Amino acid sequence: MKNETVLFDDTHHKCVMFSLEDEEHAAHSLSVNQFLIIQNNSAVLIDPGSEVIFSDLYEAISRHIDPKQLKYIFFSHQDPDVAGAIAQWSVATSAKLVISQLWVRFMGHYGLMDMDRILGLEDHGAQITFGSDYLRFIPAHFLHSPGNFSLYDSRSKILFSGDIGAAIASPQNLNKRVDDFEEHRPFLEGFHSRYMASNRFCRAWVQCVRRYDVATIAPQHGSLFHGENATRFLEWFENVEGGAEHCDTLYGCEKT
Amino acid sequence: MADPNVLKQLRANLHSYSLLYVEDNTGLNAQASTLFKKFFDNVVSAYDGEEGLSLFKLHRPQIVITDINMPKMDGLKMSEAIHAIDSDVIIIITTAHDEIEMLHHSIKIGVFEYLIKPLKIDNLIETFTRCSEVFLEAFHRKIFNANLHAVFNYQNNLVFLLHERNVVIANQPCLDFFGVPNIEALRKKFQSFGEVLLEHKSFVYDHGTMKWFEHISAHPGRLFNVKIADQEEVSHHFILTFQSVPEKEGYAVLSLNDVTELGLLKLYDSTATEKEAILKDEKTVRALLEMGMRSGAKIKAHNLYKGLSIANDGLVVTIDERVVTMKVPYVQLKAMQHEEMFYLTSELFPMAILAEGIKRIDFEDQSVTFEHYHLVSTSPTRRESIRVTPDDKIQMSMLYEERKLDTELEIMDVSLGGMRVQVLSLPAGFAVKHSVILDIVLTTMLRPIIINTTAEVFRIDEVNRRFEVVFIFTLHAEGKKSMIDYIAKRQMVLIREFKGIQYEK
Repeated sequence: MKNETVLFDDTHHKCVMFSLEDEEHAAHSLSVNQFLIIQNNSAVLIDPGSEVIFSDLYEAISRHIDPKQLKYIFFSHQDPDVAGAIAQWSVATSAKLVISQLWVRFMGHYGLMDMDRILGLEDHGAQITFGSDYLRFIPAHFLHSPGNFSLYDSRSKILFSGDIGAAIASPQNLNKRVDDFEEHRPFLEGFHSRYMASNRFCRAWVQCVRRYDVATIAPQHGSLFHGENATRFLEWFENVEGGAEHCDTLYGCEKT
Repeated sequence: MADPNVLKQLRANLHSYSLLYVEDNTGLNAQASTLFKKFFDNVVSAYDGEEGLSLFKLHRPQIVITDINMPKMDGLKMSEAIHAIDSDVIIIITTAHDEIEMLHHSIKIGVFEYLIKPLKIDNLIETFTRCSEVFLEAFHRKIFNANLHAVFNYQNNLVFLLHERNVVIANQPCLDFFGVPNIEALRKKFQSFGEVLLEHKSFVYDHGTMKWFEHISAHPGRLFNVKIADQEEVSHHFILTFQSVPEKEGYAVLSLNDVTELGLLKLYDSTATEKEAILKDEKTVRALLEMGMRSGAKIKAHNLYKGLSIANDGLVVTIDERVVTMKVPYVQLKAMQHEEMFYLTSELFPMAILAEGIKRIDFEDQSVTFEHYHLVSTSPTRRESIRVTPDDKIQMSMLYEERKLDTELEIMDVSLGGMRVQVLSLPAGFAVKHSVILDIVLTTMLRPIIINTTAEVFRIDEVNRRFEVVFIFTLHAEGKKSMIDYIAKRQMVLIREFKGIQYEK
């Protein structure tokens, strides 16, 4: 499997996917993806992963852009496989680190006390405009983290969905693209029913996402959904039942 | 027996509202209606759901109390129909049995309360008290909404509601300031608002690299300085904010807060000599802090702990003569206490403010009070990269003109692109811009890492009879990665060390 794929390139705007695995994830076939958006002389890095892959990712990025040109590093949520290398990235670049406001006060634990480096996202999200294009941080709270965002890139029409759409051990992960949604679906089910908080949030997220013209859904783990498969994924996801719906089974304390 | 004072008060709160009671048992209906009349002037009775619904349409009561099992139309169906007409109506269900099924259904249709028959006066009083609270809240909301208009017009700020980039509504001060008779004229003027914003250094106005609307709408919630001339051609200094309205795409509120009297315009755009005089003036800094206070701007407080940057948002809460009080988080107060000074920056300020003369740090109230402050053109807040004070796991030696420097070098701080060292003596001819070779040795858990790099002498100073030299360098790929790792880990250690201080008394 090659660990670098150009997802979009129209000479002004480029999106690259890296698939650097740390050992922990490789052992569980979690198939991790990191993303880089470059427009002209600035760049945004998305979910750069744990400390283990920092060096390799830094090197991989350097092949496309001087890391000094990273303007923002976006962390969809606070998990260590997403935000574990905050200290390294804060030293290696002068980028603003973008994360839900909910996690800002924990930054000391990640190795950063300078809140001037952090752009804490309010619950409704935000938009970064560059030229006629924009990046939109779409709320994805409780899917699974309580302070969670997806990122939509208006130029490439890619939705970077974080943990939403993650598939575990799907044979289609090898090519990093879903060719047959029905065959891929069983590998989505276990993760989503256990990690997503409730169907209500799944529906709210799908409703927000449908406001945008999404050509590709790019999750942080597993394969990308293009075109019709992205539509199929949204249709499936709005019916996903999560923790709230399976509460009794999860707690095992139902009435006897 | 119920407290007569409570009953009296409840009647005073409720009597002007009306109540519809639906119960097919005629005896019970008559009996309960008599009771309800003690609270409400207007009580209407019905004997089945159908009659209830038609009487509701006729009288429009604010409260409906209904039985469930009744001929023609049951109480739940009737309640659903009533809520479809007016969802604010309070519906109270009465039933002889504690039926869970029924309860679920009632919740679904938004029933306010579920009372078991026979009705008990205590339960009724409790429910009616809650009704009166709901009515009071609705009444207050109504007053608020009705008076919002007045609040909007009589505040000093110029406030516009925009849709895309057009004015939908604006308050009276907008019309007054621009000298236009009505909103229509203001809309026209606003179409060329870019021309209204005057050129001023570091302010927002249309020029080569900036279009005002694109700039402010890309940064909702941020504060901007703008300059606008009034009808007498006198320039006013405003703080502009742009806030998009949540859930209403395309709508936004733009407000302009006039801070002209603080006399800050000249600070942003003046000749060097004038600026020098202003910089020395504490009054100017006080005016900047006051501008921050009035606009509710978040002001960033910065401190350093062994090179570790600690920064958090703060708010200026009071300015009394020369004494300023700011609210800042606990961790920042600890850093201020340690450093006995701090820097303040804001998007509104032309440069950083150095604050000293700390009079009081109140950890309970999370505030700091200080009385000395001045503007500084350079400060650690402008550092591009993270710099840390090293530990003994990093050593360095230097080669200058192929000869190794034999006196000991002490590393004062290190970053990814440079190093500050102190040394007792320097070789002859050693000067700024000269090139040297540095051998940096990092001790790690596994093995020592040697980074060999050429560097440039950036600055030489004399400090306490020692020379202080700043080297700048660009490390090769492997060296860079090792250095990032060293600094990130060192930063973590310093954070832990600082947290230790945080818990000291």
